[in-house]
Amino acid sequence: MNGKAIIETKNLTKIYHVDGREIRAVDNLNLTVYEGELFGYLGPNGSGKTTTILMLLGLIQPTSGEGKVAGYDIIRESKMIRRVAGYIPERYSFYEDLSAYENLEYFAKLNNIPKNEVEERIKWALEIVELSKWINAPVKTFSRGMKQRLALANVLIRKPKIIFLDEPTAGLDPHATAKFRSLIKKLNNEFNITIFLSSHMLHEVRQICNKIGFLKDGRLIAIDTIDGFMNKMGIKVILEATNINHKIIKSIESLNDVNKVLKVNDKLVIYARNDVRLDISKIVTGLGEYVLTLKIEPPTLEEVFFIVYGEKGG
Amino acid sequence: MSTIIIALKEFSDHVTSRRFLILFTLLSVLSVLSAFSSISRAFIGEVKMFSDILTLGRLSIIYLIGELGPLIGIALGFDSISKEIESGSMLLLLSCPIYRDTILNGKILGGLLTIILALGTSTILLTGFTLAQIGIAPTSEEIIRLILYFLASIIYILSYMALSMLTSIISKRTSISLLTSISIWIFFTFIMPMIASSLATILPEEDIEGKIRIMTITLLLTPVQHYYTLSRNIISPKFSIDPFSIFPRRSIVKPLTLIESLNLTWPNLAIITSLLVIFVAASYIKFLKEEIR
Repeated sequence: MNGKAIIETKNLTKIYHVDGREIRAVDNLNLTVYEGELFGYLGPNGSGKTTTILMLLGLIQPTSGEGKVAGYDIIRESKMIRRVAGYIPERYSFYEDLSAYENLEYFAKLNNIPKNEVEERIKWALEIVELSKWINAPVKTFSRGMKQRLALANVLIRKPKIIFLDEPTAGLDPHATAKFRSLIKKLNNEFNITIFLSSHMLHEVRQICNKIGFLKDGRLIAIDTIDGFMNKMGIKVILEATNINHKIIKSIESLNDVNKVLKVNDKLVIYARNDVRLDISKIVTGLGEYVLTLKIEPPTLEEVFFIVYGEKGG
Repeated sequence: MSTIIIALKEFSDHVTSRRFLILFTLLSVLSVLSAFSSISRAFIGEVKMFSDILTLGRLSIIYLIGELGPLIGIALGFDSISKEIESGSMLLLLSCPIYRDTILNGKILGGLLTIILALGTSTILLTGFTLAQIGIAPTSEEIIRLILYFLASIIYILSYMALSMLTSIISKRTSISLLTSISIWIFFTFIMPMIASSLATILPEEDIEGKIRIMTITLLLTPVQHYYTLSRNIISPKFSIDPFSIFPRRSIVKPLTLIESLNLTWPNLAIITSLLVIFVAASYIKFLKEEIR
């Protein structure tokens, strides 16, 4: 893969003990994310996404294993990690009575930003997230989307190498979501900031990221580029015939190149490694029926996960 | 540096909060009432020296701080951590390149500054107002005694702030933290003395020594009793109270020197300071290990 690794974990594990039960929130995670990537960390709720992020930031201690972020050890050098990494949690709050500027000024000071640069950086960050007009407005007057952009400005003021985003568009309206997504891409494009985006929504990850890691029950079960995932899936063939009966389905399923066959209403959806339209056509006509439609469609990423990993996207 | 930044924000939040303003006003009003009480005592000849202003009567500053001081401490500490966890601002704080103890240090320092402001104002109001009316100027030794008393009072109030901070960390819920802290304050300040009296009535009428012993043992379990004893000993050279006695006997032979008063004061001060240290240490241990999500 391209460039230098910015996140590296080796057998990273976090075990919680709840009511005498052992819960492996993150189980032997071996993950590498490279500088400049838009990495989507995908998994259902409770799969260990937030726990991973908190361990990478040194905010919770792993049970075992090791990891590095931007070359710093997550156990011994967590403070250094937080100097170069920004984090927008899923649930957070600014100090509502303070203005956008006052909030950012407070966090800028805690980020050890030199005094003479604080004002300049705040204005620069608010400009990028398009909140300059509201610089002196109290945060309590902000919409959820504006707060989310303010959170982005809050991590930008420390000029991070990587930003961790935990379910960043949860609760945002479509307009705010689109704006936030384009901002994330802009930060990656213009400033080469690595994005680590955790989400349970496949369509969100697909729209932002170029590489995806799929987490299930604390285990990373797949990691690849979006193109890589699509290539694994192959093609999708849609069949409509005069009568799609059990025999036809069985025969198509027995074809070597076919991964999966699904009956959706009156149609048959066939996922295959290669173009199997000719074979399908022969089977249908051979069994005395007529082909009404037989076409190829590109599979969606949701379908890739559903078929390959047995998981449904959001 | 980060500790100072957090402390200044805490201080600013405290002094502009409605809850603090209410308590601050209450304490100021009571200090003025205490001053009036001292002035009326001066007219009947009870106030002979500066320290009498602070120690005589039910409205003396010792009682005011002894009973109300913990409330100020609780008001400053009960939501110090839980509110930030509940609202989610704690995660933003923790994601900064600071250690967790910095957050606690900042909160404690911010609380300390607020306590100094509240206590300083009430003391200045009381002494200034009274001195202007009755014209008894403090000697240099009395000023030193007043400063020492001021420091001891800060430790006393700070120990309640540390207690409520601990409940805030443990409960992670502001409402539970407030209820727990207030219950502890009421129990040790008002209910324990009642329990002491009730226990004393169990013993036969003639067993005066037994009654005193049982009351002493019970009351010595309360921080406020230690505070009363040390305050009287430290403020006034006329008091010579055994640190582990509950009766405010006056030294009638001759006034004590500052050193003699300090010798009487340190055991009670050590107990109150120990409480502060225990609560602060427990807060650090709990908060540093806490997994905040």
